[in-house]
Amino acid sequence: MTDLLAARTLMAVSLGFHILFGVAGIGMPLFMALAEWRHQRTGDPIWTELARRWARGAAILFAVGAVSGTVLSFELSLLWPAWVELSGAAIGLPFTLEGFAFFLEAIFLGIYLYGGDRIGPRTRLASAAVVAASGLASGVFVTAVNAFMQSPGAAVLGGLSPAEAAASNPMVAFSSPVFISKAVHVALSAYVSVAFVSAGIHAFGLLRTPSSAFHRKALGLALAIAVPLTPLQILSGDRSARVLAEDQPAKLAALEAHFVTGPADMHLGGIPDPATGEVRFALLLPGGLSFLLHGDRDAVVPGVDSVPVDDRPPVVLPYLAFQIMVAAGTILLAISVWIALAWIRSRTLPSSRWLLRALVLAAPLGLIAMEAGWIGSEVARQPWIVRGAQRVEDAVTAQQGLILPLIGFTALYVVLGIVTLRLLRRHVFATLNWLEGAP
Amino acid sequence: MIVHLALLAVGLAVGAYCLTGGADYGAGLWELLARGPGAKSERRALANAIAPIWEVHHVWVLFAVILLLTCFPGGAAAIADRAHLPLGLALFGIVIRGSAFAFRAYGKGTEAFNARWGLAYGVSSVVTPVFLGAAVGTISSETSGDWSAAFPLAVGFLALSLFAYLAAVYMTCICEEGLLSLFRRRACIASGVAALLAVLTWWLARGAAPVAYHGLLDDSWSRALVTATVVAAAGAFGALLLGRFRVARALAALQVLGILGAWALALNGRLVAPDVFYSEVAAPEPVIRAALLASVIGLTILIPSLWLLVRVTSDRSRREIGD
Repeated sequence: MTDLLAARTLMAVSLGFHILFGVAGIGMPLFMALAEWRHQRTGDPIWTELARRWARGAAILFAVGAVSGTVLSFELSLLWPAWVELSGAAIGLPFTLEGFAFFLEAIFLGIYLYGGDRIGPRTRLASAAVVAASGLASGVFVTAVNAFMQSPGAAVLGGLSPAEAAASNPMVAFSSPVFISKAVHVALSAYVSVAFVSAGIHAFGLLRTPSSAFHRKALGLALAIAVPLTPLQILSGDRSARVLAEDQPAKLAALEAHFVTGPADMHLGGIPDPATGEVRFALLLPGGLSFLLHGDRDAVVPGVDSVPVDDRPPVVLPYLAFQIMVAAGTILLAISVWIALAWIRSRTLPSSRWLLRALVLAAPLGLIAMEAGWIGSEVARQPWIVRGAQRVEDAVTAQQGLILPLIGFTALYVVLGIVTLRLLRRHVFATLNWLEGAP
Repeated sequence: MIVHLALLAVGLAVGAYCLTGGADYGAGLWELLARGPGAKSERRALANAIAPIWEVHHVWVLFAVILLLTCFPGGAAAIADRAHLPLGLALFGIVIRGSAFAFRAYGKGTEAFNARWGLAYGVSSVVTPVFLGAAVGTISSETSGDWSAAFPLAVGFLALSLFAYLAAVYMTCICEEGLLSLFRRRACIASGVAALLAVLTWWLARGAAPVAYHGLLDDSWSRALVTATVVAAAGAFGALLLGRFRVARALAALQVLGILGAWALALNGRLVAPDVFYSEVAAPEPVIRAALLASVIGLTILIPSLWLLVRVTSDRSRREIGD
């Protein structure tokens, strides 16, 4: 393995691990705050219990997220010093803001968790709300960094260095053409992922104890977020694709395995074969992508070949990742529609065992879609670390033997991941067993 | 001018990390060393002291890294290049330590589970500051990039001893009688060890980091700061003996800040010895101005929030997560 590949893999492992905790840090506080709010409105002890359990779960994940995030902040310079040197000025401001948002999240999570009865109900609710808001803000800020790398904007593409672009506009990362569509997509993915995990857990609880009011309320809360946001997320994905079609056509082409410029088909499944420029074993919708983007099945869509050979992204991995994301998203959409229809008809949460089973099975799909979407987006950005300004291979450190930290961190993250999962499982089962058949 | 402010901001973030997160490492060291019949209550006191707040303390290092990367991108790259290995090893320590602490605090695990992660927490609390200090030693040294040479390691152990010292001094301010005398004794011992290591480091710097060595001696400001630091150290020691623990805490904090400041002055404008000067690797001024402005606005929100956190968690009887 070359040091470049080792560095890329180490970054992928570190981010892929941290992203799960980042998503938890955005999504879980929302539920914690909502449960706290319901508790204060209704005085129902079930909501207190739920808020407490959300908080305890968030606390474990928040700690691991804090330290794995620190690893990333160092790895930027340790692995990609030339990138930091070139772009530090442009991406520093969103990182600084993220730092503050994270600070606030940590402080108010501490106040919420440890405040006990030394804080009044208002402070308590406000703390939960600040945790949720700053979690969201830190996700949005860090997305600005990624948006800048994906699409640094006209100034950099026109030949200015990122530092020069930042000198005339320190907020340059926030003016990236893909920033808004990305930020919306990232934020929604966090809420939808966490909501479906929660829905799966409480659906499982209801399958075991159909009479449990606790699980019924908790499931209702999860679905109140999941059902409306899932269609919005699909729309935001569609919006992202349109932005890409304008802004990074080669990236979109890689994600869709559209090799040659011309009318673009849509593929479902299969494996792209770059040698022949076809997608084998795929279900083909002729002109599908052209239609989706332009409303015309014969519209010309730039293919992977629209950029010089050296600038072309890989296709196989982005395509497969994108397919997984779309498939998972579609299933979640179907479930959401099912629940929405049932609710419109009967104004109650559906208690069909089939639906509950479907929710249990769908629990990890949001997280899977999120990770797959991230992989697709980052791999299809290649070969650039900042598009048009710097290539990944030119940014990597001159240090050698990067295989060792790769092995070390991978092993460490596997262990930490297993322990975290076991702790969470215990936490979840404690929740499931909590006053089995409680009020 | 604004470039100097940026350096000061990075320095303050590093200082804040040493005084807060640094002391938390020290708490881990004392947990590891706790022995005998009182060990259990001692560990409990140490863990409870940092449980609500260690993540907040930890954010200072993140903040220092981010400010460095924003205001001195070339400096961040140069530091990462020179101190690649000790920083990488410190990261391992940071991850293991934070995760282990959280597993033990929130896991509600068995005795064996807690003992295992408690050990991981203690060991990583001890090795991480050594690596972080060695990284500082490596970038200050111009003889070689070898972090395992005597000088960087001496800086590493100096950092560990100072953190242990801070932790023990802080504990004297919040402990009841039995533990109080224990931590007072430990603070005094750590203070002596830190003084010895400081002298050793300074002596080793003569060969390994001549720029810093001469900088300390020749610059009148750094001479004054060193003198003040020695006075603060002696004062803290005296205050410990007299039982004036809050005074000791303030002086100990000044002592650590003094050491950091003197080191920075001794490097005389360098981020990495011998020839990476901060003025030459600074980001464009508008960027620095924006980052500093964001920091000032951020701090005006942060400081009252921190005050609230400290206030609601400072009552020792309520340091357990509500059950």
